[in-house]
Amino acid sequence: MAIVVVERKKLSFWERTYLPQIAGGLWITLKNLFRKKVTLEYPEQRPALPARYRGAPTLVKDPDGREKCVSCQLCEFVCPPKAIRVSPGAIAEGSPYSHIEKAPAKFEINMARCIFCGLCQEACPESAIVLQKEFSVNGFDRKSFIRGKADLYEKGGVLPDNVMKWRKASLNAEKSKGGR
Amino acid sequence: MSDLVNINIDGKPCAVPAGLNVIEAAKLAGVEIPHFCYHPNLQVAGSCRLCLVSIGTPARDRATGEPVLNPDGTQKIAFMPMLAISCGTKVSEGMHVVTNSPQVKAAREGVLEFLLLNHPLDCPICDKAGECKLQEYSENFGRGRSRYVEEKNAKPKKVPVAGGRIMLDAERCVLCSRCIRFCREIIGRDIFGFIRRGSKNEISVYGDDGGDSNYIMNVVDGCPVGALTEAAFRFKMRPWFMRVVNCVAPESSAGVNTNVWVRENTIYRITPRANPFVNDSWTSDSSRYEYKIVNSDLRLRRMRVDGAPCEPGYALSRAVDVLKSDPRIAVVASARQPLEEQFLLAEFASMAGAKVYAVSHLGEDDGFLVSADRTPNMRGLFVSGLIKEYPKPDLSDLAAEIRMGNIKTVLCLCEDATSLGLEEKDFKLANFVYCGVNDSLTARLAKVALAISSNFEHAGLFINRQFRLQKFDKAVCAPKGVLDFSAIAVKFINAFGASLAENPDIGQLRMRISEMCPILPKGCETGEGGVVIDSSAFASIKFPETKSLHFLDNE
Amino acid sequence: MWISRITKRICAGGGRLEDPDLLLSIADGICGRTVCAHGEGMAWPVQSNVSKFKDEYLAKIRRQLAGEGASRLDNNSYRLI
Repeated sequence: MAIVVVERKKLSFWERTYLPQIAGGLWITLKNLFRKKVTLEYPEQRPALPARYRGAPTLVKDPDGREKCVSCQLCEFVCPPKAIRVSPGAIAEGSPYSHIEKAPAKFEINMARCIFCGLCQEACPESAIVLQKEFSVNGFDRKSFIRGKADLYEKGGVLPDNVMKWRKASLNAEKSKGGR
Repeated sequence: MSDLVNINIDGKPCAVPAGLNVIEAAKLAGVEIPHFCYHPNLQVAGSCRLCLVSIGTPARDRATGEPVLNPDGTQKIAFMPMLAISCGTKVSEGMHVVTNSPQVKAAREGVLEFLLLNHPLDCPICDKAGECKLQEYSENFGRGRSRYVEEKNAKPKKVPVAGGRIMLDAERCVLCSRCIRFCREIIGRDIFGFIRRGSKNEISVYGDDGGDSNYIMNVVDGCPVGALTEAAFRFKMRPWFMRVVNCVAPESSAGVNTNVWVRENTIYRITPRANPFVNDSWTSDSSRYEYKIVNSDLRLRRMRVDGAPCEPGYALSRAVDVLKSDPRIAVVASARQPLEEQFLLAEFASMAGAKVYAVSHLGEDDGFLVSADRTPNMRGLFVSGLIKEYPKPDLSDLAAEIRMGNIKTVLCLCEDATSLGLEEKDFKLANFVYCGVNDSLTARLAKVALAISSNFEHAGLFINRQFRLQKFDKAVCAPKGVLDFSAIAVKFINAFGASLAENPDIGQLRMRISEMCPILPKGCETGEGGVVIDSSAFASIKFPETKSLHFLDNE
Repeated sequence: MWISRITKRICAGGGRLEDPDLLLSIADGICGRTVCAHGEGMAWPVQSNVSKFKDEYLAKIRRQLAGEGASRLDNNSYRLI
């Protein structure tokens, strides 16, 4: 890189007393005193979160009340800090969803490890794991940070869905969904 | 070596052995040709049409037979107007193979598209995800988006076959017919077959579903998609989480090469590893579940002295005391140990002046991959010098010697002596030091019982029935408190006057035994497929194994 | 099977504008890439028919899309060969 010579101007008499600089700074402070405050008084006032805010991940159910997760373990694989642990299991034969075959027997997210990146939501082929608006996760010991399946479903709620891809075709004929 | 043939693949000239088909030749040149129905150990079917490539041969003038030349003087290559299947075409001199032309790419896209038309959207719930060839090829060579908007065909799913060991899902089948050919050629009878036709063509089992065959589960490895999956592994773990360890099945002296799949110190399944000299790509079903000993209830987990559990350090020192207490000492060696441990045991036996006994475990030879000798390393006992003749199936000799008062101390390895001719009273006549993996009556009666690592918890070498030296690696760590026998043996040897390095690592052990024994290769290097060692010194011994795959079949 | 389903769908009133091109593309995908010659035996008539009378196919589809005639697409049970 070339050498750039910086010219330093000599300060004038007034500037050497530093009084104009002090006055200028105080003037800026005074101006801001009468501006609108952006401080949010948390926790009484909460921030307005955008619609796709990446908070804590949760598991969701579909409009039929079925748990959407099929324990494919893609979220576990893509999770950068390895916060998710899934134990797949089989769906019992008698259940109306036995044609789906797989559901998680255990699903744990360690919130102490989760970095709220949202890669699990991107990777999920069933749109079963969704990051919602909770951003403040606390606990008294490390064990309490591990959230189990029931907890995650409870926090998740229902995801609206108009495709319902696992519904059997025989049911679809009545609901006139059509193939295209 | 067979003659080499010069061919040209994708513009790159290379020389490959004659008699290969184009898929194998391309693999040698580093080019992957996708295929479903071709399998190197089964007959060629040519039905999937995914391996279509553009093949050209040197052009010859029809009348005179002279080669036709290009304007610039090089040999003109006449490409066939239609694509040819590479699994069914053998290489010939001067052949040109093109796998990246637009015609070939369009063919692959088309074939994959047709296969995916009726394929169910099962990837998240299918066990084969991660190792599914259809997934790989669709990603690499497929179209990307589906143009099919009609309804898909429904076929039977979740059908247990082979006595419940395999789950069949007919919707996922890509009709490659590998399972049909395997059962017909290797097992010898028709178990799978196609029924119906057209788009309703599905795979099914005939009346006898193969539950009685000990090799039926090889179709699970052969199936390129998730149509046939192992029921014991169903929904257990995804392949991308697991690491693969090269091992050798300890079921019999066939020495079948296996892959052991491990995640975080747990073994999830065992699949065969291809070795064209030993087991092709097959293994027996019974050897797939050998890993259950690692965590079974029978496992000996704590050392015991006089029946009371104790710390390993104390148990070892008591064991050394017992072994040194009386010079009338015997050693019962085991053919299930790896070669390194057998050599250490031989060294101990010679230093202690011990008489060596061994036991043979015989079963029925099934003519394929389960031999009559149900131990993996009987020949290691001969090579290490522990025994000179083929051992009897019991320890009656040892029992007799103990009762006569000639033996007062026994170091017994991995053999349940009480089921081999010894009785409780013998344990009072002689002091037993038992080193084993499983708990047994012998372990409870022995003065000192030492828990050692199983064959999945240490690396080692086995010599199989072909006298082939094969190595296997450590898959999981032994449970806490369990020691490797090599460490224990070194302590015993040092107690008798030597000064070997404590806790030797496997490389040092192998270098040492290769120096001690000239027929072993230097450092016990086995290479890819194992190395056959000189067995002329043991030619007079009558081994029980009979003709089998790659053994005595003039192969 | 795919070709038969598309043609049945067109007859039943559910044709789309891209269907004739799709039929040609499928037929091209069959020719030369099957084990058995019946594939081409089925695909050649489709290729010749659709390529020579494509405007008639498109006209019919446009009529269906404009709503002429009763659409029989509610009956989702395609009987296959």
